[in-house]
Amino acid sequence: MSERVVISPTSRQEGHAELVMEVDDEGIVTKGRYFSITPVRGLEKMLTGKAPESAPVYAQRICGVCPIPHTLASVEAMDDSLDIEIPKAARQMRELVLAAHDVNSHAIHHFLIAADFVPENLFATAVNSVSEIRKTAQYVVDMVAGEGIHPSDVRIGGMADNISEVARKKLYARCKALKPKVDAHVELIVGLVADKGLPAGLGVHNQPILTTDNLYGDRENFDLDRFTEIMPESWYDDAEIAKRACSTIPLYDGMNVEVGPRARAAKFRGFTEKGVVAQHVARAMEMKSALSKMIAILAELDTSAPVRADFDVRGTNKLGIGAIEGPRGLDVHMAQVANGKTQFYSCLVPTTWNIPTMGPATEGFHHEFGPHVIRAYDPCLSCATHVIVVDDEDRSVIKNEMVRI
Amino acid sequence: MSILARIKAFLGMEAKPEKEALEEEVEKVAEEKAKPRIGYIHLSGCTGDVMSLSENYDILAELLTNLVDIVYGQTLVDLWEMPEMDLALVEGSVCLQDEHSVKELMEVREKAALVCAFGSCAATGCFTRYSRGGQQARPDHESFVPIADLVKVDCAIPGCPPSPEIIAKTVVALINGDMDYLQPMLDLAGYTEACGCDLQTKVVNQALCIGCGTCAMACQTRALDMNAGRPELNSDRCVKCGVCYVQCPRSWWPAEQINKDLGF
Amino acid sequence: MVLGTYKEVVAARSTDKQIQKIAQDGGIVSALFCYALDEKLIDGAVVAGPTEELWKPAPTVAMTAEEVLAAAGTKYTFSPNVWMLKKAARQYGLEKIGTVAIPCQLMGIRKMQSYPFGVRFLADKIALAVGIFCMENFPFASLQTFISEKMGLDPNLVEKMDIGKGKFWAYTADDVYTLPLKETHGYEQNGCKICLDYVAELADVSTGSVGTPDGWSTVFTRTDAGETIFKAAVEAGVIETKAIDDVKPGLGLLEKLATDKKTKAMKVIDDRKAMGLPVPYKASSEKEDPLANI
Ligand SMILES: Cc1cc2nc3c(=O)[nH]c(=O)nc-3n(C[C@H](O)[C@H](O)[C@H](O)COP(=O)(O)OP(=O)(O)OC[C@H]3O[C@@H](n4cnc5c(N)ncnc54)[C@H](O)[C@@H]3O)c2cc1C
Ligand code: SF4
Ligand code: SF4
Ligand code: SF4
Ligand code: SF4
Repeated sequence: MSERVVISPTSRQEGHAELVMEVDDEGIVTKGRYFSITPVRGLEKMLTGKAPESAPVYAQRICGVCPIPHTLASVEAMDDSLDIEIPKAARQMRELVLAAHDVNSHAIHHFLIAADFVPENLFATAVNSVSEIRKTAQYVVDMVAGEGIHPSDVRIGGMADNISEVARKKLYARCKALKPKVDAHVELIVGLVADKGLPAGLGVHNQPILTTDNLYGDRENFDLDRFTEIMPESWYDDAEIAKRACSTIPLYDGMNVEVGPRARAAKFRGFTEKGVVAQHVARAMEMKSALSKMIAILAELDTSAPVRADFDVRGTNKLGIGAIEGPRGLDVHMAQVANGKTQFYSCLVPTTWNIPTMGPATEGFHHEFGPHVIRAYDPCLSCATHVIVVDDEDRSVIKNEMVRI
Repeated sequence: MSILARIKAFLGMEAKPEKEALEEEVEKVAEEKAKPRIGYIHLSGCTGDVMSLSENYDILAELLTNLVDIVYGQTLVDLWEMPEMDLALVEGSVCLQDEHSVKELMEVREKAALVCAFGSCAATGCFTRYSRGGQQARPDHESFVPIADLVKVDCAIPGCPPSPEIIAKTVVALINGDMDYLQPMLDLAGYTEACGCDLQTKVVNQALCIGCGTCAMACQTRALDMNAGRPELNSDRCVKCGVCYVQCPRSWWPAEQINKDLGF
Repeated sequence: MVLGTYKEVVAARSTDKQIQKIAQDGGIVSALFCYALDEKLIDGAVVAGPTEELWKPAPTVAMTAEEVLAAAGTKYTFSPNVWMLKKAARQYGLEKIGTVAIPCQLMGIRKMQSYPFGVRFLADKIALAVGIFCMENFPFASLQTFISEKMGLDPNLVEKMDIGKGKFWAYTADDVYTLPLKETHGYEQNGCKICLDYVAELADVSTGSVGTPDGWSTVFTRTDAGETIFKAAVEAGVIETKAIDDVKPGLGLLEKLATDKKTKAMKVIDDRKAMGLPVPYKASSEKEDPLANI
C-alpha cells in the first residue's frame, strides 16, 4: 500500500506551498512533488501598460522577506531595456544593499531553522545573535535604500540619493564591529548543523545548478535562449496537483535546476559539497563574504559622486533583463519599454526555480527528512507548517506533527 | 526592570517618576492577566508585515514568549481546526476567486474575538487594488479586496508594512486594555478606499492643508513631493496604502494621547 | 490654558554677537541648535534653509553651526520641515535629530511619534523639537503681493521681514517699510483659519518674539528633554535670560493674542462643522475648555 505524506504550510487554509511525497512501506520517499498554492496577485499583468517607474515599487511587494532582490532585478531590467549606464557610486550602493540583505536574510533563515538544529541551552544565544546581526544589516538597508522592508530609493537609472559622509563612516564602523559577531555566528551555525548528524547524501540530486555571479548577479551570464517555461499541467504527473499549483515551471536547457547559496559557492568559490548540510554551510559562509563586501564598499564609496543617470524613459521595446543573485538564488526580471510604458513584464523568482527541484530532492530518504530538504533551500515561506500523513484508503490523518519551513 | 517597563523604555514611553507606582500596578495586572491569544493569518500578502513585527529586535523574544500566546500560524495546532483567538492579525487582501482564502477569512471571523487588518493589503487593498487577472498560472485570480469588504473588521493597522513600533505599541495597548490608544485603530477599520489622492480630495480641497510635509515624509514609496507647500502625488509610485492620509495631522487628531505621551 | 503646558517661561537671547545680528529675534533657535550640535546632543537639525529663490525656504539638514546660521531668520512661507525628517534619519544617517517647527508641523511630528503607522525607526530619533510661535503663514505669492504690489518694493532688496506691533515689516539695507496687518488679511493660507495653537504647545522648547522687547525672545520649556537642554545652554552661557515679569510687554500680550487666535479659529471650526465640512478638531460644544488645542 502506498501512502501519501502531505506537508502543507499550517493547513489548507493558510496555504503557501505543499510538499506531497509518495512513500513505500518503510516510509522512504519514492516520489516528491513540491508546489506553490499562493493566489496569483498578477503583478506581471498589473505592470503591463504602466510607467516603468511603477515596476520596482510593485515588484518589491511580491515578497516582504526578499524585497531587495526583486527591487534590484526590476530596476536592472528597466536599465537594460532603456539602455542606461548607471553611475559607479550607484552600482556600489546597489551591491551594498544586496549584500546587507543577504546577511539579514540568511540570519532570518537561521531563526527559522533554530528549532531543528539549536539545542535548548543554546537557543537564546542563537536568537540573540540573529537579532544583533539583523539590526545592523537592516540599518544599512534603511539608510542606503530608504526603507528596510520595501526599499523606496533604489531607482531606475541608479539610486534616489547618495548617503552623507557621516552616514558612510557610521555604517563602516558598525559593519566592522559586526565582523567578529558574524564570524562567531557562522561558526555556531555550521557546528550545530554538523552536530545534527543528518544522513549522508540527504538532499543530493543530479540536477544542474544555475547562477550568474558570486554575489550580485550578472545578466551576461543568463542566456535567455536556454530558458523555457512550462505550465504545471505539463510538469506534474498528477492532474489534481497540476491544477492547484500556482507557479509556472522554469527550466534551463530543458532541465529543472538548483539556485541559491550552494550553487554560487560551487560555481564561484570552489565549494564541492552537495545536499542539505552543504546548503546550510554554504549559506552561513556566504554571510561572511557578504559582510566583507559591505565593508569594502563602505571603505571606498564616494559620497559626493552622482548616483543617478539621466535617461530617456520612452524606450525602444528592447527586452531588458535584470539578473540578481538573491539570498535564495537567481531572481530574473524581464521588461520591455516602448512609448514610455511597460509593454511586457515577467519575473522568475528564486523559489520558483527551486520548486521543481525541491520535491525530487526528497526522494530516497525517509519522509521525515522531507522538511529538512525543503528548508535547506530556504523557500520564501516563512510560515509554519504541519506534516500530516494521510492514509490513502480512508484519507484519515494518521500523523500530525508540527514542522517549520 | 520588568518586561513591560523594558518594552516601554524601548518604545520611548518611559513612565514619569510620579506615575511609576500606577504603572507598576498596571504591569502587575498585565502580568496576572491571561496572555492574549493571538493568531496570524496570511492571505494575499507579502509577509512584509510579519517581517516588520520581527524587527522589534530588542523585545521580540519577550513579546512572543512572555506577553502573548501565538496560537495559530506558528505553534502546534490541529490541522483543520482554527482555535479560538482573542486577536487575529490578518495579513494580505483577499482574492475573491480563491475559495480557500474566502473560507478561511470567514472562519477567522467566527473564531477570533477581534479581527485586525494587519498591514495595508488587508486594510485598504494596497497595491493589489491594481490586480486585474490574466496571469499564469492562475489567470482567473483577478479580484483582491480589503478584508473588511467580506467580514466585519474590528481594527486596522495600515502601513506597507506597518512600522515595528506601531505593531509593538498596539500589542502592548491590547495587553493593557488601553482602549484610548487603540481607538484610532478601531476607527481606521472603516478606511478601506485609500489612495494618495485623498490628500487632495480630503485635505487640500477641504481647505485644511497647512503644508507641513508629514504626508510626504510618511509615504513609504516616496510617491509624494511637496510643491509650493502642498503635496504633489506621483501616481506611478502610489500603492494606495493610505499611510499619508492616516499620518496627516489634519485627517484626525489624537490630542489626548499626544498630551499623555508628552507628559502634559 | 491658552499658552499650553509648560515648566517655565523666560525672556532670553543668544549671547553670541553674530547670532544676535542675523537672527530673527533673540536667536534662540539658532543658539540652541549650535549648542546642541557642539555638545553632541543632536547630530544634525532640520531647518528652513535658503534656496536659489530669495525668501523661498526649503527644508535643509544642518550638521554644522554655519549651516544652522545660514538658515536663521523667519521666512513667512512654507518650508515643509517634517518632510525632511525621514531623509535626515536615512541618507544623512542622523540618530539624534533636532528640528525647528511651527505649531502645525509639531502636530505632524507628535502624531507620528504617538502613532507611527507607516513611519519606521524615526519616532525615537527626534531629540529636540524647537517650536516657534505662529499666527499664520502665507503662500509665496502672497508675500510677493505685499512686497511688490502693496509696498512697491523690489523683493531682492529685502533683507529681513517681520510681523509685530500690528504691522508687516520689510527691512532693506537702509530703509524700513511697513504694511498694516489688516492689509495682509485674506492672504494667509486657508488651513491656518482653524489652527488653535499659537505658541507651539507641543514643542520641547517653544519661542517667539511676542512678549519680549526687540532682540529678545519669549521662551517656554515644556518637556523634560526641552528643559534639560535649555537649562544647560543657559548654564553654558550661550543663552542669557531675564524673568518674564521684568520685561515689557510680558505674558499679558501673548495671552491676549493666543486667546484671540483660538477664539477666532474656534468660530471657524464651529461654522465649518455646521456646513458639514470636515474638521479634525472638536466643536466648542464638545469641549470642556473651548480653547484647548483639540
Ligand atoms: C510663518 C511664521 C509665523 C510666525 N508668527 C509669529 C508670531 O505671530 N508671533 C511671534 O512671536 N513669532 C512668530 N514667528 C516666530 C518668529 O518670527 C521667529 O521665527 C522666532 O521668534 C524665532 O526667532 P529666533 O531669533 O529665535 O530664531 P533664529 O535663530 O532666527 O532662527 C529661526 C529659525 O526658524 C526657521 N524658520 C524660518 N522660517 C521658517 C518657516 N517658514 N517654517 C519653519 N521654520 C522656519 C529657520 O530655519 C531658523 O532655524 C513666526 C514664524 C514663522 C515662520
Ligand atoms: S501591506 Fe505591504 S508589506 Fe503588507 S502584505 Fe501588503 S505589500 Fe506586503
Ligand atoms: S500632511 Fe496633511 S496638512 Fe500636512 S502637507 Fe500633507 S496634506 Fe497638507
Ligand atoms: S501616496 Fe504614498 S502613502 Fe499615500 S497612499 Fe500612495 S503610496 Fe501610500
Ligand atoms: S497658523 Fe497654525 S496652521 Fe497656520 S502655519 Fe501657523 S501653525 Fe501652521
